[in-house]
Amino acid sequence: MIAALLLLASVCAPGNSLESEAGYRTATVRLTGPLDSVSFSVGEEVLTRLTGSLAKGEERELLLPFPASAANRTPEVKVVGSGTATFGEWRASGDELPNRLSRRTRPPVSTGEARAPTPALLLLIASGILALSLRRRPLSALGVAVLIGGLAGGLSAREGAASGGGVRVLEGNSGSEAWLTVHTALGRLDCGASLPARIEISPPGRSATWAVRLAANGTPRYALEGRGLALTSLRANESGGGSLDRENNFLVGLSETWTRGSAGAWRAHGAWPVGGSLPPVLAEIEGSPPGWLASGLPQGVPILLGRVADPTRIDPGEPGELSGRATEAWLRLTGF
Amino acid sequence: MSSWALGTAWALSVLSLLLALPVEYEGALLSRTLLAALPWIALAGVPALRSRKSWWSFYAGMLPLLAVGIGMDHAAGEGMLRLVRVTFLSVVVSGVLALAASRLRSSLLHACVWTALVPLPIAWMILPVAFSGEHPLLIATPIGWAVGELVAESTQVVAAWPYQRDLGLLISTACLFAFALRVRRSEGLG
Repeated sequence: MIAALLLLASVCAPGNSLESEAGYRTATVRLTGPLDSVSFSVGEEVLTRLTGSLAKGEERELLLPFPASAANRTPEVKVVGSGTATFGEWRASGDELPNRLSRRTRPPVSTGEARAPTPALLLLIASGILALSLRRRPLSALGVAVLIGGLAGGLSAREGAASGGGVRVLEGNSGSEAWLTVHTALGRLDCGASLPARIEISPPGRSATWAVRLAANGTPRYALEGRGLALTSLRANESGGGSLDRENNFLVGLSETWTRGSAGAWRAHGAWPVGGSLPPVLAEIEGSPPGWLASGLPQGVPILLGRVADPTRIDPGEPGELSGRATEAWLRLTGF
Repeated sequence: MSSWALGTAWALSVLSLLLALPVEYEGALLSRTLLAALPWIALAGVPALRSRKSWWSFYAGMLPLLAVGIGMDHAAGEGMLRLVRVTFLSVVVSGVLALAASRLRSSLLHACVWTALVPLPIAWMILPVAFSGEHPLLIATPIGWAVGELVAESTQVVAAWPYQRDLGLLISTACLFAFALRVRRSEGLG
């Protein structure tokens, strides 16, 4: 009886239910410049880190995300600069998500392997030859090495960042206006300029740090960071502006397309550009969709799977800005 | 650092960046910076007859490789604090090992110490000897430290003072350097 009452209380408490739903909490924070960064921590754990300069006397009130584990605790605030940061109050966070769509298989966390980009390797070889030719002048060799190293390191960081954005899936159900965007990345999840409806962290029980950066125009950009953690965000109704049926694709360009009919076999259709109709079947066997994308789908229901040609164009209107950058993007539509 | 050691370290370091390796290992990011630094740490102290003036010239080969590793790690989500710490220690330790080697030249004692600090820990880690877990003496060696840091645990929740490993490394490196100075003086190499 007592256990049942406790369960009922936990379900009815608005804070707790929202916490478990969204996977994070938000709180208001009032900032007064001058300051360069603010961190919020509990003990040794940094919950949220805000970077971005505020001029002297400049004031701003922000809604910042915090890990769910920090709910209802007042974090310690550390300011870099002579300004102030005042922690306000906890707010409800998270939006409703389409239930069926949010239960589908999650994308893989990582593309697996990485190597140094070719231009950086070529620069390394050039630096090796230069160091050899300048071996009698070690100071000059060192100067050249630092210069080339900076260039090669920058190239590696830029190219690595372009390939480390994670995997995004646009989930939909034909005939329904409800869409869901699921974005998974390893170590760092770029959430763009808006907070998602829900955050999932794997392995469960681990905590990640929110990194918020104030852009030059004052807009906050959110990212979730946790070394070795699989981080997933879920958002609803992001791509509701477009439509997709067999005759017309007004949603997103696809570089690969597969359909599954009532017979249960996958059929490859190839590329399906925006504005065109569904291309004819290429082959019965060739080009099966990725296993994670095709698994866990309802049986006896026609399905469309596709690989988005340009992962930055999955958000109509504001490509890449609204929900962060992804390396790969996929489409999964049931009832097609 | 002799020419062959320099060439070998450079080639191994380039190879570590050239190979397509997993981004993570058992849930933690694999540090490409340390992977690129490992050959330099291992070979910087190889006993060799070298001029004192150019003991640090190997940095011309090492630094660009470390920079590429840093770029890759940063893109993979590695924190800047850890990147700076790991790079700083790699550069300092390999520099001290190279300096000690250049001061001792081909001293037999130095060869013994270098063998104890580099090949022996490698053999200990590779060979299936009756050893499991992290032995404090092994961690304190440059190679033991580098291997231990390759896939270090998350630093999101840190211990009261998480740099014991670094302290052990710095102490062992400082001891090696002090030893090099002492031997050099007693053998009249300077």
